[in-house]
Amino acid sequence: MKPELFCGNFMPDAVSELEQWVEDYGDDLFRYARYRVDDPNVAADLVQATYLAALKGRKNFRGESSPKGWLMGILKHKVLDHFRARLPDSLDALEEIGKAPATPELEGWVQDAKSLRLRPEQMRSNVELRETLQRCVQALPGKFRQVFLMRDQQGETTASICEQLGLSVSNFNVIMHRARKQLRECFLQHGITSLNG
Amino acid sequence: MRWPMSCEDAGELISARLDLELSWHQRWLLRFHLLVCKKCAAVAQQLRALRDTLLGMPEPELPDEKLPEPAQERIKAALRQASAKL
Repeated sequence: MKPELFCGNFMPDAVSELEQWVEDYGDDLFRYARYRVDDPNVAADLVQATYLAALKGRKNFRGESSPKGWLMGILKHKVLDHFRARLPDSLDALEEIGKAPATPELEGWVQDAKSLRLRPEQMRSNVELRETLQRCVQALPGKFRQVFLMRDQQGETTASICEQLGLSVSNFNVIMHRARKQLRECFLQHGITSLNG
Repeated sequence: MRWPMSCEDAGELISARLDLELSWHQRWLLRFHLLVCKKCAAVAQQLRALRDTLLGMPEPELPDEKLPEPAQERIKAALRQASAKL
């Protein structure tokens, strides 16, 4: 990576470089977006918005970080913008999104597993349980998943998440409560065999 | 929140205490509820364990998810078009 490529009037080179980066890092960026948004077309749009922002802000990239790290930083902001505009304001709307698909049979599974003690070290060392957990995270509604991932996977503070997404603390609490409840039920429904095996 | 606390209210506090510092009153209500309600105590343990497992866990590779070829071409075309306007 040559930083001088992006200074002065080297626009054609800048475009070819970015086109190359689409091939080099497009899949990684898409996967990051796809883990957060449900619709693959929306994920691709976010990746496109990232490359266009990179073209406009190319002078800000001086090669201090890797191109992939720089692009990923832009994409993270695009994803936040996406959710900031879409997270509902009212508690009623949040409740509606967070309703878990409860069926009598599945409820029964969870009833049986109510007293089960989960052990983080056991879950981390078991590939099948890790995959189950990740699949359950992916099954959360997209609007909840972003908030949930920021808090429970990336460990960001509540205050920082509320500020970045323009959420009130009470709405944040509702989202996290619903997401954790749904994740737990999903995990217990699908992970019991591995836990007992 | 009233005394005695319902399991639904307890569920909200069980989650909230993973993110915020509860008031003295909320802590007291929840602590008592968890002492007498084994079901909520198990849920509290499970939620904390799930959070501790996930915290810092690398994101899955999602090997099947690739930026589709038409999207790649569309992005390259958009870059060329945008550069002409800059």
